[in-house]
Amino acid sequence: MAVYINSIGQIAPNSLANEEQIIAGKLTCIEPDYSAFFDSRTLRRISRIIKIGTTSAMMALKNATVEMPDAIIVGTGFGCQEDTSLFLRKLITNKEETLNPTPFIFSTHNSIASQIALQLKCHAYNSTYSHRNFSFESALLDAYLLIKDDDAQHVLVGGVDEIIDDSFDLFTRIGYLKPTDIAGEGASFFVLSDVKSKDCVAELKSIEFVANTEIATIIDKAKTLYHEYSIDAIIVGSHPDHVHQNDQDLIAALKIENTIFYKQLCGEYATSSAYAFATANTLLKENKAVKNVLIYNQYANSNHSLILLSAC
Amino acid sequence: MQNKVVVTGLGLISALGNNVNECVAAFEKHQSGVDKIKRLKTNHVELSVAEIKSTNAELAAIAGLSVELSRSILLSYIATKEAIATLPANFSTDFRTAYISATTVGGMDKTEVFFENYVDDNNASNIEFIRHHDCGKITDFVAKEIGIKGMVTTISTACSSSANAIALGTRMIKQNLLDIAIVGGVDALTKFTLNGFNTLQILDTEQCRPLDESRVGLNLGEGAAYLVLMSENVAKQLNQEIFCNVVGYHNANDSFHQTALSDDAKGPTLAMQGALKKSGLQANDIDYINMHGTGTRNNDNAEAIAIQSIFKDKIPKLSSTKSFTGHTLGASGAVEAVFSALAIKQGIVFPNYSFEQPMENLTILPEKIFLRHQDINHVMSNSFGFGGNCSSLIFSK
Repeated sequence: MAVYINSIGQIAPNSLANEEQIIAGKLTCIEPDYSAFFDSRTLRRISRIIKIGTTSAMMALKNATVEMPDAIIVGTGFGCQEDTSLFLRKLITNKEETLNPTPFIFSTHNSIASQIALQLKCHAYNSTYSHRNFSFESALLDAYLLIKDDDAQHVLVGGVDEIIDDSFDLFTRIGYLKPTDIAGEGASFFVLSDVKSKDCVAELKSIEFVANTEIATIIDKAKTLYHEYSIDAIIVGSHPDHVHQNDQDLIAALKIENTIFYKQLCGEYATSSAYAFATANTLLKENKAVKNVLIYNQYANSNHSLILLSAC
Repeated sequence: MQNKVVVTGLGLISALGNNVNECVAAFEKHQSGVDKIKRLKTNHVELSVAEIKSTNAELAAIAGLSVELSRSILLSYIATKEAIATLPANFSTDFRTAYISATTVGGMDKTEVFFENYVDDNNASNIEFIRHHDCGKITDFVAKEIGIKGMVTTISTACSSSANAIALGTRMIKQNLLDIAIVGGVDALTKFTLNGFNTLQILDTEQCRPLDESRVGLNLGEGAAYLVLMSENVAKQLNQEIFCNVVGYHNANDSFHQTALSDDAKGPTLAMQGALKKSGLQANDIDYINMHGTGTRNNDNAEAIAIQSIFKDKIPKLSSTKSFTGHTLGASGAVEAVFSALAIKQGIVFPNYSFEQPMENLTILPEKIFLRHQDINHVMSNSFGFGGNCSSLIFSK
């Protein structure tokens, strides 16, 4: 059974019509008018990550003309940071007294997936993965398994992270953001299905992520995929001016001319591979000569992922 | 051809003890882990919680790890090591092995200490604490320590997190994508969660009373629990003791409210029905239900309504173990899966210690005393959480 990527819904720091939006050194999402997506009471209560995540999800469903998915799966590396920080700061400054429960309620990582379910009144499978650069990959694998195992026909799956002042400051200080990185954020959602929609251009062929592994092992895995699928484009998680050593090694080993960088567009964030997944779809749509695209992503030289999409 | 998925290892640390045997012994003696707050530095000393008595230094000594690590990492590591004790040294290189963990607040115990300085001082010095904040840090750290070189991931679906980790591992072994999955979850008691639940006014100052008409709220707990899952073939090859099979699992969403279950208990009902369907069992095959049973008005009422609608007049033995362990949040699904596996393997029914008065208009009557030598073939374990996330698991002999 094939797994088709039937639609994309995305809120990112750039769009086809706009230049990248950089605010205070951070690539920051260009946000839509949310009033079409939420009632005013909900809009007042939910934080920005829930807005960008839920709205992207709704866009993906609309683009796939799927009203009710059979599963909702979200990956988020750091979850709802704004509400977490807000509740934590109040807790300390108010010395544990007279706290507002709302930020706590929406601080849980699954707030985004559950808000999507609430908006849709969807009782189906609902999960959230929060594991650094494997967050989106895990969500994607889960979606792939549900379809392959015939547990679901249409799966709404996405990756979302936000950058807030606290995390920008702290991630810079501890080196999660290197001096050459631009901090970023975004929400990219997809409807994956066992049937192909009329606008569908790609199917998900393979997804693998492994921890505590040397780049040499990953290059071997990538070569195996290369020979099996004759990969003709590769998307790597670097800024074109600062290409990570692992990316350089992989590019050199596979000798693929068509190499695409994307961190200059969406910035550095834990689920940026969801942005890359959208980029791969767009590539397959716009360049019919490209048939098989490999996405490589890594964290700390030890956690690597390989995602393969093919034209269909 | 789908693989049969078996449970071959259990690891547990909770307020009841530092390993599986100590925890079971506490149940047998009817010694609850719930007490007034002693270790956690908080103003809310009026609340009762189920704290693990050991300090971080003591846990670090047990684990043989640095005291600088988050409490969540220490707990996760101790329970994981117990679970994998019978695996051969080469398990992660010779078999396709994944480590799938779960947590709600990760290393928040470190973050909240850092923020005490950070709110006043942007250059607060204990910045290294922030490295422990995210959920994935715990999983990555423990995976590396135990030599996992394959798939690792972390699920965070509030109080059903580790039930979903068990389900994912089961699905991947069943579909022959993995040979072994080490699955479970962890949460340490933090000021963040204590104050969060306190603002919702669902914490009991005394020992909680799940399923009792007089219940007023839950007790937070802390702990970690992990199970080793593998295909039956690999278990035979490795000569592993088999506790039970994982036969049913289902994840549904109540889709009603961010923090409360619906009156008609749609999510819990779908989760239990879905798990039964997956297992191929009938409702009356279930011998024991380890309920989510937090002790809040809302949860216990909804869960009881769902159980009554599914099991009708043949309600199996059931209990909530949370008046002993407290509610361990992201760990609770795995903590209770360990109890479920023991229920089958050792014929144990765990007591609902604090029960006295049945809930009004409901027929649910939990077991009050620790029972051994029961004939238990099929156990259901429920985990429901914030965000409407409801999951049920079924284990069989």
